[in-house]
Amino acid sequence: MRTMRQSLLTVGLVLGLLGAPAARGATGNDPDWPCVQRLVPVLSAGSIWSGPALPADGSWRQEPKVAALVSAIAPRAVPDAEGVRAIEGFAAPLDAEARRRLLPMAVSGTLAETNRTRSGLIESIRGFARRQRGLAETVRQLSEQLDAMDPEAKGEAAARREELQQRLFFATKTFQDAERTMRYMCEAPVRLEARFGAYARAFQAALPEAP
Amino acid sequence: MPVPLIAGALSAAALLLPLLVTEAPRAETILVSNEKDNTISVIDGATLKITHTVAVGERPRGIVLSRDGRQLYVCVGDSDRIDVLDLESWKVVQHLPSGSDPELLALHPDGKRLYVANEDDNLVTVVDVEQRAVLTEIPVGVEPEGMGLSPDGKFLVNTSETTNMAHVIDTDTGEIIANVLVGARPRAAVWEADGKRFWVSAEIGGTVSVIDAAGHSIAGTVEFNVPGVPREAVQPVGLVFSADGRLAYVALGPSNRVAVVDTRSLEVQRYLLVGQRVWNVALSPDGKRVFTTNGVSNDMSVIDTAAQRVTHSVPVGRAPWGVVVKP
Repeated sequence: MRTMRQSLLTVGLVLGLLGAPAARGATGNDPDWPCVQRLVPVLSAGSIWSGPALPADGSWRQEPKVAALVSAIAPRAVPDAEGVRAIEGFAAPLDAEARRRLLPMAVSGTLAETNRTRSGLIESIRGFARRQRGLAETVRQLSEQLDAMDPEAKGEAAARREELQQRLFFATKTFQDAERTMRYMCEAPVRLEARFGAYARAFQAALPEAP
Repeated sequence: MPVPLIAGALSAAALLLPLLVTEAPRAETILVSNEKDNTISVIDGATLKITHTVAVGERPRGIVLSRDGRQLYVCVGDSDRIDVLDLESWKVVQHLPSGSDPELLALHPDGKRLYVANEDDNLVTVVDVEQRAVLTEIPVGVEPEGMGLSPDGKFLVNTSETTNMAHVIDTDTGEIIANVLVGARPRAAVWEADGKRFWVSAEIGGTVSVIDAAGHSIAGTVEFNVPGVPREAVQPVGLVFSADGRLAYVALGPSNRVAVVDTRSLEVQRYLLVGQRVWNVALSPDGKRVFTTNGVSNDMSVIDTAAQRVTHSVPVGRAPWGVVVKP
């Protein structure tokens, strides 16, 4: 009985959430975007960089030193402080002319790579949200089937009812655990955005004064 | 040759400017709620150094000063209450009931009635701060959010995130007397000092609606266009008026800009680059500075209103959200 009561309580919760993704999603009309933060698909240089215009042609890949810096600081696992130190170490031996030429290139490369990683994360979150919707639908169907059964039934029907209750219990639990995971997932693009901000400020600080 | 000299002199002046700004002693104190640290950062206005970091309940967001300026009311959403922080002992001295998940709040000019938005329950809860009791609950639209009291305290504007409306509530009767359709996902509702108009920001709509308070009609709309920034990153949230009421400073979320808006023409004069995901703004009592909370870069930007430039970034806690200035 206890399990059943728990199931019914959690079913109510899941059914509540079932209608919620659209409301919870930031755009209000994109059920595949489950995060509270409104989706900004691509980080733009203009939102953070007030330095000289950035080369947009992928020239950073042609400059081995810059390409090496970008591949050292762009991976998701690199902590902000470590990346900032690498930027400072990169700029330190360069003269003013080299800084003016190479640093904007490095910003452009870091932004491109950050966006590439971030797009992958966004796609994972969308996939996760789609699976959650599927799971919520399963909970709804199981719950309907259970409602349609006679609670006083005996024999085979009672066993079938027991089995449905078990399935409902586990589907609900999986859904709830995944909801918690999703909150962490939603933070990942924000962390990349924050790190890119820290990098951009470090690049800006290393630029020489305008001539 | 004179060009580099002039440029040199200019940049030297630019370097000196922050020093000059901080030299004048100011008694004001800036208070910032840190949503992810469950703390309030207390910043000395003169030195811009953190003097205290006070632990409060879980998920502090909306904050407002008591009428006498001695206490800070803090919405602690995940603790389902309001913490009362004493600004001399720097301790939480009381809890107030708030209804579920309080996010934003507004204090009536009588200093007693606190209006709290309960996002999960679609209610505005009215709390008596002296009796520490809930006076009444007002049913409003889905996911209530922004709370703006008219200067005379007669009307409360509450925004509803999901229905995209600003509800005008008569504070004497607790009845909704008008609903005004605004941009998608409305956030803040802020009244002009003379009580003739109120402004409602729309995070997803990307606009600010200016509403005539007498006719409850849209008097104008502020549009934003930040060069080089995609439209979806321009998310208006908090706003504050300059001391003379001629300008509005509007926080534009992940575009990392504060827009300076002429309140007569409703045109944007300037976009100031601040920290990342700028959420709320507050004006210093002398009107000379605007402080912003930047939720992603975990800092507070300081804007010099006369120079219209950003002079400082002050690191605070994680996910800074609300900001108020105690004179």
